Parts: sequence; structure tokens; C-alpha cells
Amino acid sequence: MFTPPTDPKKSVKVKVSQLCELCHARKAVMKRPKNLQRICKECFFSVFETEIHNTIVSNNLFHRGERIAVGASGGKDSTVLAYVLKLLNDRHDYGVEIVLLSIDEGIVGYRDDSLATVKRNQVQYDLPLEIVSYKDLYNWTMDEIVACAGIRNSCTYCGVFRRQALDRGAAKLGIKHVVTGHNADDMAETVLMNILRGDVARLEKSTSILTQSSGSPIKRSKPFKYSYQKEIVLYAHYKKLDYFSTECSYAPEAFRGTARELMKNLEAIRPSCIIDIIHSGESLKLKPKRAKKAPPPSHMEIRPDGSVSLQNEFIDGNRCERCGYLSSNKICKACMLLEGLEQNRAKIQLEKDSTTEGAAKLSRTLEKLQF
Amino acid sequence: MVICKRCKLLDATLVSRKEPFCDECFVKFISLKQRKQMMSDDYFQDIFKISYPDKKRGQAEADKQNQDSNVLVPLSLGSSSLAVLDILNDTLLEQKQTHRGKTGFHVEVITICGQAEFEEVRGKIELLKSKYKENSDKILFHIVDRNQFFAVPFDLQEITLYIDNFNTLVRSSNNPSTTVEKVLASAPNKTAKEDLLNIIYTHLIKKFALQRNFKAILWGHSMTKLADEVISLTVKGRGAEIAGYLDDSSLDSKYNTAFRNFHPGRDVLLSEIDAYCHIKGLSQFSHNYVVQDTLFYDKFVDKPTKNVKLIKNMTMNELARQYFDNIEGDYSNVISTVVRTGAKLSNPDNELNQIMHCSICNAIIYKNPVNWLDGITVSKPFVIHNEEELTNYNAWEAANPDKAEKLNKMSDTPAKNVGVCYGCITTLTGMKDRKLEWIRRDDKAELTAVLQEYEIPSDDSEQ
Ligand code: SF4
Ligand SMILES: [Zn+2]
Ligand SMILES: [Zn+2]
Ligand SMILES: [Zn+2]
Ligand SMILES: [Zn+2]
Repeated sequence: MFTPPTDPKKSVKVKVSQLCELCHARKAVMKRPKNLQRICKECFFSVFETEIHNTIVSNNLFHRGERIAVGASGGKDSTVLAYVLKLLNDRHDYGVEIVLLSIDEGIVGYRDDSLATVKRNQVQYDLPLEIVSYKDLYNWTMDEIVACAGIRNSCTYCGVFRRQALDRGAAKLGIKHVVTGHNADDMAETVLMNILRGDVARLEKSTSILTQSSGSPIKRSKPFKYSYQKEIVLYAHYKKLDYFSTECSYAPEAFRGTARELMKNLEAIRPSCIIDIIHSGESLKLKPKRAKKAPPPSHMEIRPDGSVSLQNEFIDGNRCERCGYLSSNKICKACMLLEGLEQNRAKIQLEKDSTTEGAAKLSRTLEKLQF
Repeated sequence: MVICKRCKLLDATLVSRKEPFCDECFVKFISLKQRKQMMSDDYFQDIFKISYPDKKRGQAEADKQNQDSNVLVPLSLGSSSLAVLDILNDTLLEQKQTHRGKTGFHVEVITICGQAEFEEVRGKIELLKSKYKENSDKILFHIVDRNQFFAVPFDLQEITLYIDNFNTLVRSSNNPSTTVEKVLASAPNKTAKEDLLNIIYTHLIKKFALQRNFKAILWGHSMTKLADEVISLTVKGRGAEIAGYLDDSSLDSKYNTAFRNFHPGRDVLLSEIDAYCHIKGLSQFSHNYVVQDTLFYDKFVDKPTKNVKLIKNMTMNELARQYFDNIEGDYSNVISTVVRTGAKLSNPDNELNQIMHCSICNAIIYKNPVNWLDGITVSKPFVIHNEEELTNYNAWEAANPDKAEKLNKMSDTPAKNVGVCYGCITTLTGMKDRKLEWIRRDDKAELTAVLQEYEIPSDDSEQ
């Protein structure tokens, strides 16, 4: 197993006031954002790992003999996740088999470099790796999608495609459980976003640790649900884990950016607010619904902030007519988005061709394309 | 000059919801929004409408209903509560005019304040009294000292949070009484201060409403204020309280189901309320608040009074407000979306096998916050594994003999474990020594202890 390099031992007398508030025996090196406790490196490793172990055990996330795929992006969250899961699996004998599953969205300068990191992790942690690419699955890379549909909704496309890609990748490996590196900060942000957007369909489930669409063979879980991003970064730093820290070149949509900014400010005055928001999120419950007319199938709604909301209610067992993926509608979200993209691509190509083809033919074709 | 889109006559002075308004049409627009809320269901219609004898009731009964329709307006002297009161005053005048002196309801106004601000507050209230003197028979003013919160017929208690295991223990306090100022001084953290003040003021107002049989409390809160409260409650770990906070349709179960809470300004943005106050000349009565000119073509607020505060000096509520202020231009629907979403929430399921109220804020505790926190926070140290560390530990033990022992034995005087909600645990974390002097909220004598009022000189002499 991969053993991170250790610091050279230096022996300096530590003042009593500088000692860790847990062990009172080693020098405190950090303050936990959760409870402002000042603790030492060893205690930090111990509480950080044990808290994740407790989360796994108390939520019955894994069962013996299960094969799990870690959604590995090469970023800090998934790198630490792969490392810690392997460690805990050995330490507590969960009896699970861990595989790394990476998605290649096709974003030059970001994903190609981060995939190189995942490939190193594969060697360092000695775990099998499977890579699924958007290009193979959908015949589109994210770079092409952005060129065609603009940058504004890049994360909407990317999110829908990634969800399906992870499922397909897992299915290919015969794995029924995908574990992702979503951390407490992500959870809290989701709770706030769902309230700010009025996304009632997702509100109650914003903080679920385990999700599974009924009828779907693949479940997803988030063992880092209660782990602070700051602590994950510190853990990676102290353990000298090899991760990739560049952000995706397609910045998150502007509205999410405002929520992130708010969170950052809130955290500055009360670091526990992340866990406080999750506590709130777990107690959000909707009033019983009054019967309401369902929106038409393949209903796509543009939210006030400009992002796209896709219909979310799920009807059991239905499959997409085109690709066979689980879908409550005739055609799944990914195929719907793909259809839009193909039409746009056609238009763009027509525009390019129009010089040679003549304007009359172009306008005829465009008429057909209108919807 | 732009012409008002409503009357198509006068020059517009402001833009609201993308529409240019003249002063007059805008005042009508805001006033109608509140009146629509006042007629929004049977309970409120019964209060605000004038009842007349009909098949079901005789003259005496109808008169009694009008007589009993009393509402309480908590007046903080911010723009929202001033506007609510102003619209009620107009409604009363109208009723008097069209019903030969009769009105369907009457209003009492309560302002809670500290000693230091009393003189200024009294001055403003006296001015308001004379402004509304045509309704002096229908609008009554009260000022209550916030220290009445601690004027209870029993000894106070001291609540202490033990951070190692999140337990809160309570014992009788050594001080027979305390003051709001002292309690606030022991809250170094601004958000904790604000949280406690909010609990104190809300309790005093509701207790007052309960003791004097009011039918409803008319909170001034604008849509903007409601939105930032929804976000603040979420952020402070009090998400379970959102449903109750926005509930205008049930009687307040924490106060003997004696009255309803009502937010007549829930359809109106704060910037719109401010514009209303400016047009109606109410700015002069405001206290601790500067009426803003956001909607007006012609600006009148001096730049420096606009909030330029450092983040670290702000409270959670102020940050939420700042967020909404900043996005109002780009994402105008967010505020109403947040309030609408909050209104779709219900109280969470109770995971405890009894109904338990928080000893500090009185909120219902739906799940045990101690277990929750304990479940996600490990406080077991990593083993001591060499000589050097052992030496350090011994040094620590020698320096903190009592602390080392206290880790297990928590206190010397008998103390009992009490229920404190998650939000208040967070507040306690921000208090000096994680301690709070407080009243016993579960004591029956607490709710009936009469609240002393400040005298406001009556203006009988002028009449
Ligand atoms: S930021 Fe958006 S576009 Fe980039 S990888 Fe993430 S979801 Fe995809
Ligand atoms: Zn330690
Ligand atoms: Zn499909
Ligand atoms: Zn007009
Ligand atoms: Zn409480």
C-alpha cells in the first residue's frame, strides 16, 4: 500500500498552552472548523478517519463482498476518498472491493491533466481504474458542447451526462454502488441552492447520504457528507497525497457563484455554519402536496437565474427509448440534451455550408429544424 | 420625465417591479397589498371587517365582535412596522368615514426598548400618537422595558454547555436577577447577541399578546426580511423553525394557542416599504434605521449611511440581507422564491417520544441535537506513543489539575441535564465560558408574571 513520506523528526520542547486539546501530549497544528478545537496532526488523522468510519457504519453504507466504484476525478475530494476508503477497508475489514471510476468529460487543460493524476493514484493505491469518456458515450466532448451551446449552461449538461456516465461505467464493471467525494461544504451549498431556487422536488433530499432511484441498480453514497472541505484539504496536505488542484475552466454558473460567495462569508464569521446548514437541511420537510397537474412530458423549464431545470419526478422502471437508460419520460434527460445539441450542430454546419449551397435551400432546411 | 403607468397622469417618481409609479399610485399599490393579506382568510376577515347584526347574531353580538377584534403591532420603529401601522390607521379612518364612526377592530402598539434608548423612543412614540390622533380611541401605545424579560417571580438559572460532549447542564444561578445588558456583554459573538435579543424581544411581545387576549400579532416583516430570516434560520441550524415562523394560519401553540402570528407585509419588498415610508413622511419616526431610496429616480440618502461594514463585524442575518440586496438587481425573483419555498415547509417529524421545548428559545426539539453532534464528531485522542509525548502530557496535567479531573466529573453543585435545541447550542458555543443566565421557560408562573410598562404621558389635556 502507498505510504506517504513522513516528516523528519524534530524534537522541540512544546509549551503547555500549545498542546492539542484532545491528547494534551502533542503540539496543536490546526483548529477544527467544526468546533474550533485546536488539535495535533495525529489526533486530526484519527478523528477525521474515525468520523468517516462512523458515518459509513451508522448509515450501513457498505456490505461485505460489495464492489464499490469511487468516482475519481483526481481532485482533492476523490483522491482523499480513495485513500481513506482503502485505509478504512483494511483497518476495519469492511470486506469491500474498491475500483476507481473516472469520467473523461473532454475538457482540455483540465480533465486531461487531472486524469494523469488519477492514473498515478491507481499505481500509488494499487486499485483498478476504469475511464469512461463523454466522447465515447455521447460522441460529444464538453469542449465541443460549450462551443456549440455556450458556457452558460455547461454545468447543466455536464451534470446530466456525468450522472449517466458514472452509472454506465459502473454497470460496465458490474458494480452497483458508486461512491462520490461530495463533502459537507457541497452538501450545505446544495441545501442553500435548493432554497434559493425554490427547487422543491429536491429540497427534502438535499442532504441524503445514500440515493437510489427506484428501479435503478446503481446506488450512490457520500461518505464525506460531514467532512469539511478544509479538513479534506488539510488531510491531503499532511498526508502529502498526490492530487490535482486546478479548477475546471468552465466556471460554475453565475447564480451558484453568488451562493458560494455567501457561504464563504458566513463561514468567515461562524465556521460551524456548514454543519449547521446540514442540520437544517436534514429537518426540511414539505407540507403534504395538494394534487397538481403534471407538466407536459419532456418539460424543460428555464429558472429565473437562467439555469435549466429538467423535470425531476421519477416514474418507476421506465426506460429511455433511445439509449435504454432509466427515465421517467420517453426520452431521458441526456438524450433530450443531445437532441438539442445535434440540432444546433446541424445549424452551425449549415451556416458554414450556406456559401456554397445557396440561401434558398438553407432557409428551407432551417424551417424544418424549427421547433 | 416618465409618466406613471397606473394613472397615466402624474410624473413617475419611482420604479417598482419594472413599472413607473407616481407617489399616489404607489401608496395605493402598497396599501392594497397589505389589505389583501388582511382579508386573506376567515379568521382575519372576522377581525378586520365591521360586523353587523345578521341572521346569526344580534346587535349586541356584532358589537362585541368589533370590540373583541384587537390586534397587537410590535413597533420596532423600522420602516416595515411603521408602514403596517400607517396602513392600519388609514384603514380605521376609512371605516369610520364609511360606517358612521364604527370600526371593525382596534390596535395596540408595543415597542420594546432598553433603558438607554427609552427617551428617544418615547419621543418618537409621542410624535406618532399625535400624528394618529384622529384614531386615539382606536390606537393605543405601550412601551415595555426589555429587562422585563428577567422580571420573573423565581430565581434565574445558569445554563452551561460542555463542549466535549455537547451536554447542557443547568443549575440555580447565584444571582437572583440579571439584565439584558449583562447577558449581551457575555456574548462576545455578534450573531449570538442578535440571537438572544431576538429571543428576548419575541418572547416579551408574545407574552404581552397572551396576557391581554389579542387575536393576532401583526409583525411588520417585509418579504425581504422574511427571506433573510429563512436563510438565517437555515444557516444557524434552525431549519426546523422555518415552517412555524412563516405560519400565519394556525394559533401559536407555544403560547396556549391564544393568538395568530400574521405578516401582512409578506408580499412587499423592503425597498418598496421604504419608498412607502418616504412618500408618507414616516422617515422622521424611524429609530435605528435609515429609510433607503433604492426605488426612487431622485436619490436622497447620503452615501456614507449605506452599509459599508466589514464582513467580520456582521451577523448572520446581516450577511443574508446583504446577499439579497446584492442580487436583487440580477435575480429579482429570488426573494419571493425563498419566501414561497419556506411557506411550503411543514414542521419536521418528531423523533423524540415526547414534546420537548428548548430551555433557552422555547422551540420544539424534534431530534436530539446532542446525539446528532456526537454522532458526527469524534473527540477521542490518538494514543500517546512515546516518551516525549508522555512528558508533555504530564506537564499539562500538572498545570491543569482541576481540568484533568473535571473531564469526567462535570460539576460540583448538583446540576441537571436540560434540553437545548441545536440552534441554541450553537449560540452557547459563542458565549463567554459557554454559560448563560436565563429564566426558566417551563415555569407556569413565568407566562403570567405581569409585564411592567413605561408611562407614556397621555395627551388627554389636548383633547
Ligand atoms: S465545473 Fe461544470 S463543466 Fe466543469 S467539470 Fe464541473 S460540472 Fe463539468
Ligand atoms: Zn492530539
Ligand atoms: Zn436516453
Ligand atoms: Zn399614478
Ligand atoms: Zn433553542
